[in-house]
Amino acid sequence: MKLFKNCVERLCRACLVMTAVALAACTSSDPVQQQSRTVASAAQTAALVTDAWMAGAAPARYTAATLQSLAETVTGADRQLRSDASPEPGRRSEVSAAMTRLSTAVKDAEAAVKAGSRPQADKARQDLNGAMADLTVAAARYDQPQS
Amino acid sequence: MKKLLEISLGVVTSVGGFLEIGSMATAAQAGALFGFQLIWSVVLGTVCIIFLVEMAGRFAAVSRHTIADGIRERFGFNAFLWPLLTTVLVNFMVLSAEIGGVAIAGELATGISFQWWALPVAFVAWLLLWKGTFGLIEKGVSMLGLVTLCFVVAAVMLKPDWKQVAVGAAPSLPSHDTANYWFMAVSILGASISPYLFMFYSSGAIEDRWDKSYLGTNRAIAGLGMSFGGTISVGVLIVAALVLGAHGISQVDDYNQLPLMLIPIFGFWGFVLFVASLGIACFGAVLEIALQQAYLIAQGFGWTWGEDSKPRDNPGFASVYSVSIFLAAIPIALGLDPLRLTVFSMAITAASLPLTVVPFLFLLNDKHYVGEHRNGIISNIAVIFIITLGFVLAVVTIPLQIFGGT
Amino acid sequence: MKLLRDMLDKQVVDREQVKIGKLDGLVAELRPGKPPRIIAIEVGSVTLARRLGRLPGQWMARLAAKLGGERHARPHRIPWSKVRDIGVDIEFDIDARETAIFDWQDWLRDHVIGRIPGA
Repeated sequence: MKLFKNCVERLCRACLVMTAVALAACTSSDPVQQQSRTVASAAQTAALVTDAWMAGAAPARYTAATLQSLAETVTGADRQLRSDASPEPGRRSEVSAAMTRLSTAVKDAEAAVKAGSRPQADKARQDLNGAMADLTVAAARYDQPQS
Repeated sequence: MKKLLEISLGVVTSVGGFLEIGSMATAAQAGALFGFQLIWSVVLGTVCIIFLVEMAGRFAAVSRHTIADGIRERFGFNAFLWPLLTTVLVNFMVLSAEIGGVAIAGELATGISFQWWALPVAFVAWLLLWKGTFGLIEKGVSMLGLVTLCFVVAAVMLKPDWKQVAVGAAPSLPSHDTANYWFMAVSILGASISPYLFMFYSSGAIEDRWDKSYLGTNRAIAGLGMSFGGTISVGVLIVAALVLGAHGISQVDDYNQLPLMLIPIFGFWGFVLFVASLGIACFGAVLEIALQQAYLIAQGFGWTWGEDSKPRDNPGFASVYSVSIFLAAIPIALGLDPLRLTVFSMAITAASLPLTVVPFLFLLNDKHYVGEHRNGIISNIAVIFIITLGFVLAVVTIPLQIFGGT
Repeated sequence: MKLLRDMLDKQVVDREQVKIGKLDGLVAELRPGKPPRIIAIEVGSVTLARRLGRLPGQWMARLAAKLGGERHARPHRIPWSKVRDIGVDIEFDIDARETAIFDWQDWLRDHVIGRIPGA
């Protein structure tokens, strides 16, 4: 019986520790980092789906719907970032500018797919690449300690 | 010879019925964000479900009781009420998510928003239950479900580093996104160890009139069927890691992202295969869960039940599945995001496990029911392990649900 | 008393093996100086609700009376003398169709299920 009690105690303690770790991990993440990761993932998806459409592997309707939904994700993240009070507006605005460029590129890609225009999609695809690089740089600079 | 046929049919059925929106979505998210690192939770979940399914089948074959019958009889009505209510609630959420899965397949195929698909899907599923027989539903739909094997083919075609895959099969601590890591591990376990799966299996054993001579068949079906099923989930995870993860897509929170897993591998056919897999797998699950709701209620209260007789011969039973299916379609028709609902309900499933699994410990050790076919020490350890796991998961999921997770 | 453990909540069937419910309650007669004797079993939602407590029992009885008429306010009883076989199920020598137990299922069949094509 005593052994059992010990086990239960230990189990409870393990649970508490795990919960604490989990909570700590959740609360420590920075909103700017979080949003830029969401946006980066959405942008990569946009690139992949546009490529698939240009290769004739994804139906136009599906591609357009996906791009539209991704544009909403990017715009939403951008808006959230702007509304958050941040201690360093300067560095944050770089991230935000990259996001705005990204959402424009995704919307362009959507328009291109809807119009069925490959050259237009090609152009949007290049914009997308450029904006993604911007975002990577801006997010990395934001991560660096202030010098 | 007949037994062999029965075994292969049973295995095919379980393989075709294994993958549904829960295992597909959770494996895709885990693969995209953590590569092969969470393969262990698929493996662990599969081992657990093998044990539970084997026990459910053995209990039914020897005692001629379903698991629901057994729980009520052994523990009395008042105690039975808890697992009953929990399971009905969890099943409702999962059923809703599966209807959402079929609805997404509809949207992907036609461009008509998933909301509009919820009620038509519910209607077709209901019609099949209304007119069909158990054999048709169990075997026919699961047979079609074999299309999900395309994920295994895709995984092999990607030529993953098998050594890395093996490394992922052993649990390890995450280097980033700790909260997300555990939340995903919980959701994967919930998706693999579904109570509806083993409860449905025990009802099926009674519908198919199993007796003691089926014990070997049962073991083979549980072991092989569930392992092959788990293999498909691992396939999804590998594909997600090597296609989505490798392209820098770390967050899969939009269902539109899912078909992209197969497109780079199979081209346009990848899109078609994905839509077919999602639609068929989820549709099969819709039928099974709706039936399971009816089995559970009818068995719990002692009404007549059976999918092979006409609705007018067991009006109570037919009403339960009809009502369940249409009620579950409502959240989707109102526009609740199926992917979010899925991940949420998988975590809840995992947390609800102790309530449905604790009875196994008693039922499978009770001479009254299983006589000499009682649990051995390994099976008992497995049950205790699953209960403990479920308990820990329950304690961990709830705060994760609130603070982290999605 | 092993009876309680072994009998309560078992499946009850009639002489044609039709499932009529679970053995929801037992009715015993107290005899001075001798062990109590089972005289009947009870089946149905009123008995079940009573097992949860006095209040749920009263609510259920009121609800059942409202829905099905006065005779549903009290639980359905089957005399113990009718018991024929105790195995996986408990078989009683009665015909379920002659009791009021299936009234609600009959109502469902006649008013809802039976009206849907293909039933």
